[in-house]
Amino acid sequence: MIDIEKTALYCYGVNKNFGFLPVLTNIELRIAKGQFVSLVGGSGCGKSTLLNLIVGTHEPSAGEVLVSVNGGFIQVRGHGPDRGMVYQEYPLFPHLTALKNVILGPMLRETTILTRLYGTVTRSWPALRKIHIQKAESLLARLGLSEHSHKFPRQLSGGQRQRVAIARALLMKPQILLLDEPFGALDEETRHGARELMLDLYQENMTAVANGQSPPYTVLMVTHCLDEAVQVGDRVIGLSKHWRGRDQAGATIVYDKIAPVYQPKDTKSFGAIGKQAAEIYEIVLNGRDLDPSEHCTFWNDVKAGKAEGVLAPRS
Amino acid sequence: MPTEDRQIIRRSWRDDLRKIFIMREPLPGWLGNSFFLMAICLIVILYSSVAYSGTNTLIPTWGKLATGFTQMITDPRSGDHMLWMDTVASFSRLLPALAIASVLGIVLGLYMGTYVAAESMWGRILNFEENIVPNAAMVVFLTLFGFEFKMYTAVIVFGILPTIAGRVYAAVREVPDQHIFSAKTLGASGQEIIWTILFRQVLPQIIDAIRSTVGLALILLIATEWAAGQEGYGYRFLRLYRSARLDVILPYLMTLGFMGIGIQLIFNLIQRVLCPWYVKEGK
Repeated sequence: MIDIEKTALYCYGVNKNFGFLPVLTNIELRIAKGQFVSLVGGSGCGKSTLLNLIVGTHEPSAGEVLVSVNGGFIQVRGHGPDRGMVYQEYPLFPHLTALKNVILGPMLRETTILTRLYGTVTRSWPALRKIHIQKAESLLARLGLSEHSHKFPRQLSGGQRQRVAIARALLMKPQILLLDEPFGALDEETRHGARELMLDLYQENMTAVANGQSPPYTVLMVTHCLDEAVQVGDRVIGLSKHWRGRDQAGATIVYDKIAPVYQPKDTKSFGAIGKQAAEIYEIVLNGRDLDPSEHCTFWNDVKAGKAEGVLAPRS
Repeated sequence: MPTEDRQIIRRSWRDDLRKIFIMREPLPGWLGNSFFLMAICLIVILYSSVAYSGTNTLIPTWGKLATGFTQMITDPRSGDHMLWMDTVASFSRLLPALAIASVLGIVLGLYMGTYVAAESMWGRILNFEENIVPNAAMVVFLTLFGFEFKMYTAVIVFGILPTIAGRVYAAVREVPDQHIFSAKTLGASGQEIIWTILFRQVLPQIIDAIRSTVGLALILLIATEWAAGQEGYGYRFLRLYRSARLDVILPYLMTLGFMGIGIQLIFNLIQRVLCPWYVKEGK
């Protein structure tokens, strides 16, 4: 395992029941800073529940969700700016333009209604707002959204909306960014662009690690597309209700392995992607009862030096 | 024929006429408007046939209506500006009441839509209150406030507050949870979620809610003035009713109808200026 400074998120013995219905059982998950983790699983297996536990919409019935802040762990209590979230549906506020959606983050975090009122009188709030707008505009430009920054969400396409939502979450510099099937409703072409964006961000992480800095983005992404999970993530986690030794229990992690890391403009080796996707399908989605630890080899593989990406910067 | 394969299809007015019988087929402007004119003509003919038949002498002829109209603007005998005086009197009662009911309704609706405690507290009470006709309860308001300005305000607020609050509440409930959760991950406090996000987001529905209650507020006001007023529309209608002055009442009602349309247009304009992002469903 890794030390606290390098950890972004730590789920420790997390269980979640809805009434008498167990949904998640004994989730042990440690995500290092800079990792892009894909979370897959059959429908209704609790992927979104796990995400909601981490973001703070639900509280775990047992166990703890910990986020590392300044070298120590802080237990998650409700929603907070240290965990960003992008939803598949309704990702943006419809009454604000793309730019105003993005600057909403710094505005809400750094000011309150009273300080804004007072700041309007002292002229300090307009000055601060100008700084926010500059930051947001440069981020939108980096994501290729400059010409759309003054459009309302209904004037944007689905892919553009998701990218603005990701920009809004990234501007908050969260410890971990949670994506709930962000590209699920997009057409194939837009999806492709969105994946490239994720690979670009991962590349920035790699550069930061190579320069001895802390990688800026950590992502946990729920997806139902296995190819996408392997291609975008550097690690794939599979949740399943079917596991050996389960007795009236919910889903747990049955698959946790390294996924290949790609450069944005790389030719992806679709053979290798497809092979791993087929493996994930066999283990996670096929409904066979498995030993939950059998395919959770991620940290052993990292120790064995098989990792690519942020956990093995030299390769 | 040589050009048979690429005939130019020329649309004639006959083709347009055929559209009349097709369901939900959009009609060209001239055709739709001519139907409107047809209805106007129908009403004018029906009215004239009643007014000039001689069976009911109280129904004024067109000439009497015209003198009634001028009398409504400026009374040649007393020199009173009837319509203007009544409008000032009634609107000085209507507008403050609308403002009070709007502010209360917005606050109640926003908090009821976000906090279950607020909904448990006021939801059922407002639902019950909506069923009470304030004019029937006028004796209560008279006992509390007397024949004063406050009484009119109270009647109108009592009558329209449940409607405004209920519609704001419904609009807030329509806002998906994801918006509230996203706002929290962006570091918004509870009050910021309510006032900077939810309020702005449901503002178009708030404007719609207030607009739709203007009519109800006018009904309540006229009924109250009819019963207890010394001035205003309701009092005027009572006096005109007693002297059976249909030649003034009818132009008066027409004018009020056009004023109502004007108010609706003003609300539409406010909505378009304040909420440029809003597109009405079905448009």
